[in-house]
Amino acid sequence: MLAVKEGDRAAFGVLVGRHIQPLYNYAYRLSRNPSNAEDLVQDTFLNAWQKSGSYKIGKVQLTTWLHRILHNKFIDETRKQKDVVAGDKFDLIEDPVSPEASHVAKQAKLHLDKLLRRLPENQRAAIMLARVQGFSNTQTAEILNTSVRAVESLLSRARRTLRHEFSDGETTQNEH
Amino acid sequence: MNIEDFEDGLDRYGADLDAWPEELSTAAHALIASNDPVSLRASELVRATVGLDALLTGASTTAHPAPPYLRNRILANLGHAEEVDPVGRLLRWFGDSLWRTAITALLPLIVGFGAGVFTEGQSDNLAEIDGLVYSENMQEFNFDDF
Repeated sequence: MLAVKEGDRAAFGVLVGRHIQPLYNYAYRLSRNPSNAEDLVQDTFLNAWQKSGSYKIGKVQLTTWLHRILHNKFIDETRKQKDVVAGDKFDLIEDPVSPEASHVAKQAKLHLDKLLRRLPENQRAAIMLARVQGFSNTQTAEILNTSVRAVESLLSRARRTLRHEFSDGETTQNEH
Repeated sequence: MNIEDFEDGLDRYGADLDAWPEELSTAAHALIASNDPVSLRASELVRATVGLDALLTGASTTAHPAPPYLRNRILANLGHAEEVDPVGRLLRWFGDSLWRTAITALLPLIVGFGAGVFTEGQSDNLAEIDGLVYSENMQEFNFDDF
């Protein structure tokens, strides 16, 4: 990151390579659209490049900082859009460049996508960050610009909703 | 502990009952072990939570892979990002190196010092002009001195 702050593009390329996958995964499940996810990730990295001078090494983890930029960009975009498309209007889209090695993995991914779509945006963000992306509750609070207590409340409500949906899904499967 | 409290505990602390706060953990284990319809329901809830946690944390199998062209697209747009943010570039140029920041801070001092040195030689002439301006009698001055 020191090299990036000096304007080293090669170093920035390495940074992009290292963080692009977790950011894209988060962006995809936030926006529920691969095209929007690409734009979000691109805008995040370009913003990080412009603001690299303001990043304080050691004060916050780089991945936390990047996720925060992405989350703020997502919030800005949804505020601009007057017609926010509800998740149900999107069909679950399979990754165009993702030759899944396992049918089980494919089904698990679709199942998770379907579950996450049921959640309100803030709960979806919290559960993604804290359970899927692997951030602590403190880091999640920092990314979402809220308190740890609020994150715990969001997680509690999200898990309850997801568990009920998960149980219903299993029951339906067993009946067939 | 009733089933609502048990469910609340699952939401807050997860499916591992041993990881709950001690008092709640004891009560939760007792509920599961009671072998009645409530304990059956509690066991179902634990199973569902375990399954959900496995799905959430199985990131390697459920992650959406970033398109391979995305990285290059980002790097190709770096130049454009700099063009639209000239102030950011300027701040980065100043902020990136300590000596640049120091020289920038010293510039007013250097300019002020230089201005003071430049105007020092003119003080005698100014004094004479003041004398001319404020004198009551023009004949007091020898204009040959100017």
